[in-house]
Amino acid sequence: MDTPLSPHKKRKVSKFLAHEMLYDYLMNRLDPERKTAVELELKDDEENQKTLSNMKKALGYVERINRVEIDQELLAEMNESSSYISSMLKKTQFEKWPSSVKWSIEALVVLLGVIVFLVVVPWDQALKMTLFPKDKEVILAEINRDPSVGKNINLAQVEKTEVPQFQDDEKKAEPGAAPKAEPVAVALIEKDKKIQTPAKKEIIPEVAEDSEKASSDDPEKKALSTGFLYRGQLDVTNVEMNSPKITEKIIELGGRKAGEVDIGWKKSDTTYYYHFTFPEAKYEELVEFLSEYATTELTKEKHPRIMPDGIIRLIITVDEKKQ
Amino acid sequence: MDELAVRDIALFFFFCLLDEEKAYDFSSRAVDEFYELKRKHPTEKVQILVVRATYKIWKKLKSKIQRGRPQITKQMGWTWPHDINFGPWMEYQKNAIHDEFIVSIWALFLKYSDDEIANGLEMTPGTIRYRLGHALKKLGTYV
Repeated sequence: MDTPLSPHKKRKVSKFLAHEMLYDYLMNRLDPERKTAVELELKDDEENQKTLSNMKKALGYVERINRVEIDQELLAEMNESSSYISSMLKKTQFEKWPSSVKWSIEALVVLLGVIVFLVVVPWDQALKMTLFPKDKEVILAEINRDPSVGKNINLAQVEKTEVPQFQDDEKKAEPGAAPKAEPVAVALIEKDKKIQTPAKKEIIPEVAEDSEKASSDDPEKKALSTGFLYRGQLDVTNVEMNSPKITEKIIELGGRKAGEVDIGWKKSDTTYYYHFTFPEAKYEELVEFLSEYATTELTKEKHPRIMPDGIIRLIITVDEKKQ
Repeated sequence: MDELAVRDIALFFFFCLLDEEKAYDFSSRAVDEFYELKRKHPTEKVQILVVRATYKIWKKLKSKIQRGRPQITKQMGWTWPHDINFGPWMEYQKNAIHDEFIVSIWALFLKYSDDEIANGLEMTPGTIRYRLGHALKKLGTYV
C-alpha cells in the first residue's frame, strides 16, 4: 500500500509491532492501513499466526465459560450490607437525615463512650499504681490488745531500740518546733524493707492501742485501754554532780530512754530531764533510791498511751534545790 | 441497575478467586464499597464504580487469596452448565500476572470497555489494552 511516510511507498510493520497490535487487530480496532499492514506481516510470520490463533482460542474459551449464573437469593444476600452498622444505616436511610440530627447523634455516641470509659476504668487502683508505687506504701500497724501479748515482750528486745519511742513532752512544747503527729494508737511503719530498720521492727509491740478500741463499751476493756504516766519533780542539791548518778541507777535498774533525748538530758544549767520506760517491778526500788536525794513524790496520771504489761513510763524533772 | 452491579461484582470475584466462600465474602464487602462510592459519586457510571470497588477490595484482601486451590462446589449459589471446563482458567489464574489477570475479568467476562476500566483504575486505555492483549496471549497457551 502506498503511503507518503514510507520511503518505499509502502507501510510495513515490524514483527514486534505486529505482535503488539494483535489484540487490536483481533478486536478490529485498527485503521484499514494498519490492519492491512498487520495482515501482510502475518502472512510470513508463523509465530504471530500462532499467537493470534491462541488469542482467538482464548476468546472462544472465555465465551464458553462465561455462562456462570448466580442465584438471586445469593445476590440479595450480597446486596445486604456485610456489617451490622452499615446495614442499619442503610435501613434507616441515615444519609438522608438532616445533618444537625446526624451530628447530635454522633456527639451523643461519643459522649456515651467517654462516660462508659470513665465508669469502667478503676481509677482508684490506677491512681494508686501511678502516684503511690507499691514499695513506698505506708501501712498502719495494728497491735493485738490481748494482754498476753504484752507479757511476752522481752525487755531485752526493748534495750536494742535506738530510736526514740515517744515524743518528749518538754521538747514538744518548745517554740518553733514542728507539730508532731498524735502518737495515739497507731504507728506508721515504712513497708519498704530497705527503709525499715530492725529497731523500728522492735517498736511495734510497744505501740499503744488504737484509740477507737479504747472507746469500747466493755468496762474491763476500757480499763485496759487507758494508760498511765508517772510524773514527778525533784529538787536536788548539787544537781550537776548527782544527776549522772541518778541516770546511772535508772539505767542499772532497767530504765531506757523513751523520748528523743537521753536519760538525764541537761535541759538547762539547773534542770535535768528524765523521760524513760522502766520495769514496773523495780518501781519501788527506784523511788527508794531517789528518796536519798530528795523527797520523791511521783504522781500517776492517766495517759492515752498504753504501755505493755510490766513496763511503766516516767517523766521526772530534777532541779537544783534552791537555798 | 444496582442489581446488575452486584451481579458483576459477584462474577468478578468468582472468576478471580475460584473459591465460592471467599467470593461471597469479598463480594459482600465490595458491594458495600460500591454503595459507598455511589453515594460519593452519584453521577459516575456504574461500571467505573464496580471497577473501583472490586479493585479496592481485591487489593485489600489479595493476601488472603490462595491461587491454584480452587474451591468450586456449586453449593453457595453460583451455577454453571456441566460441560464447562474451568481447567485452563484455573491454570491461568495460578500463573497469571495479577494486573493482567484482573483486567481480563473486567474486559472479557463483564464486557466492560477499555475506557471504563481505564477510568476506574485511573490509567490510560492503552495500558489496559496492552495488559489485555498479554492476558489473552497467555490464556491462549492454556486452552
